[in-house]
Amino acid sequence: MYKLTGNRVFLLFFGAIQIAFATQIAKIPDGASEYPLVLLICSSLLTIALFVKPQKEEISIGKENSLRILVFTILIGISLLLLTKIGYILSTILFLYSGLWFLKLKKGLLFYLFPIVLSLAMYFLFSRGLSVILPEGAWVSLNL
Amino acid sequence: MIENIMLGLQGAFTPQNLLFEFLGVAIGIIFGALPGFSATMGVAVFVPFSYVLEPGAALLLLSGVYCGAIYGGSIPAVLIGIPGTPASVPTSLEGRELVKQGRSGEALALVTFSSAFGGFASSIALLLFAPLLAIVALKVGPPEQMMIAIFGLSVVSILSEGNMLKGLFVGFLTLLIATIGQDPMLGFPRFTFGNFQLTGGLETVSVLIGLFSLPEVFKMLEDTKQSEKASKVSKMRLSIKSILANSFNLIRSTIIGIVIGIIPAAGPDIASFLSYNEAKKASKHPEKFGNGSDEGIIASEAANNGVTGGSLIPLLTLSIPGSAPAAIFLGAMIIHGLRPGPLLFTQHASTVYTLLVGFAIVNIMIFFVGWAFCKFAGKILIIPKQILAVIIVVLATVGSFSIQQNMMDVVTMFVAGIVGYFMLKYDYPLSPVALALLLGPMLEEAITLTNTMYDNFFMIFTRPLTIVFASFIVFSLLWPVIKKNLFKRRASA
Repeated sequence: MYKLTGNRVFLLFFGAIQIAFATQIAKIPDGASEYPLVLLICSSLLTIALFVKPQKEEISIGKENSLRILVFTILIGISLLLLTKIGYILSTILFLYSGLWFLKLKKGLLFYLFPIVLSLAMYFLFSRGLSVILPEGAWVSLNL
Repeated sequence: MIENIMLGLQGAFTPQNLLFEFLGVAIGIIFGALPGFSATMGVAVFVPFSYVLEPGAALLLLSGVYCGAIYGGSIPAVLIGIPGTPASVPTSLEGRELVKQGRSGEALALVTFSSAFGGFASSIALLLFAPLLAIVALKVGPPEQMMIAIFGLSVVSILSEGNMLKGLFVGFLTLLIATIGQDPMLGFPRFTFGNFQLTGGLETVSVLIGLFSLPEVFKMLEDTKQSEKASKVSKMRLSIKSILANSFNLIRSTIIGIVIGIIPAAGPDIASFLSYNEAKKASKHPEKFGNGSDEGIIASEAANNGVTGGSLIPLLTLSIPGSAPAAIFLGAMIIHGLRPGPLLFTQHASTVYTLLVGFAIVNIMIFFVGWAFCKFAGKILIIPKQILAVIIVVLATVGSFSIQQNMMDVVTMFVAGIVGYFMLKYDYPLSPVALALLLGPMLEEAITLTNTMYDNFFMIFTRPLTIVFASFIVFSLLWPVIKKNLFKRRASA
């Protein structure tokens, strides 16, 4: 039995993607399925080869660091979810304040002003300068 | 010819045109430096601005944006490890290592010089050899494109040296992922799982933004202490010794850039990877690649800027755009009543030669404007890590959204970022992802068209250019083995 290392779990994730692709390949008509089929076979064989081969020792980054990365990833995820709910400006300001607070930036003028200045600067640069229509909120909308 | 060049000099040096060349370069550098904003997007956004200008000034403004953006993409690649454009990925590999060594100023100086040199040389090629070199582009069909794509993918073997199995795994899996969306022949939606937003496939730039930006943020969080070396920006200094030692590398990379630029569909990204690969193969110190190599930066930058002039050669003479920005350029020319073709050089000599000479001036300006911009952009490194981390997330989000103004691209960027972090953690190379995503669609289309053209596959070898590119592939794959044996023999002698 193979020991379940972090790398093997990562490979299982890719294996699941390959299985999902394999379930779809039969539905693709001839002429469009050959090229991805060859790639699927090759990549699956390589996944198996990497899974069964002896694993290198993995260096742990520690629980504290892992937790910090996990929480920050969740913060990013929440801000992306909120983009279409409360709009670009508010969700960015919210992410910046929560992110800087979580990363323990010293509370001073920079802490309080930076999120507002950056969010507004990005908003005006992209929406006015570059004609990019940034997401507006479905719940709350702040259009300047 | 001389008369026309004199006409071009007169046109390009008028105060108004010089102003538009400068503005174009400055805007282009900012565009390129913003992750997610490509040269294509920059040229596209500024086409409407050019309507109000006279044709010469309009084309010079767009040339400035185009060349400036290709160069600008390398500034964040060096300073924060995020390539502003896919063409800057090899630069980011070397640049961030140089930054760690406290040589950020030297890295930026090398980037600026190599980019300006590559771009200037390509503009001279454009000016002198346009009609001659266009003949080569005419002969590139699907079999040659297929060989170019395979040649490009063979770079994976170099980029993954010492980690070949993982490199191949990443390459094949990414090629498979690149097939998501409509197939090139039947238009059948593949692997979309019923999600119509996947019909167009995954947005390459979004994947690359996520892959090369978020893992950097997560790595910052692993070590919250500010690195002393990285927090200070070293002096912008151009090492003449390094330039002289790399003069052959510089010229070879520029030629690669120009040739790739001439070939339709093969843009600056492919040129920079190929040139980086060639520089590594030819280097006396290949072990320095990936650890802050001057050679790597020079190769990548000279080649990706060398593409700019090269891609305009088939455009101006045959209406074949060599790259995506060149295609938009074509649209702008038609809007201004300039129809590319052999007659363009006689019927609109003044405008065309103003563009050709102006293109060279734009690349000289890149050196000076870029140098000034780098001094300012270098301040990024003294920003506290907390601020830098959140800025990168905000830029990556808005950059991926602005590509198609689509939330799906933002989600793609986020997922790619998380996957990229684990790839780095478990020692999987990231560069083959970029290469396979960029070359995958080109490869599939070329294979399909080649199969349609020939019943017997081996008939493609009746085409001289196919044989040339096939020899490049064989040479590229065998070179590491040959080189190893050569070194062994030399060592034992």
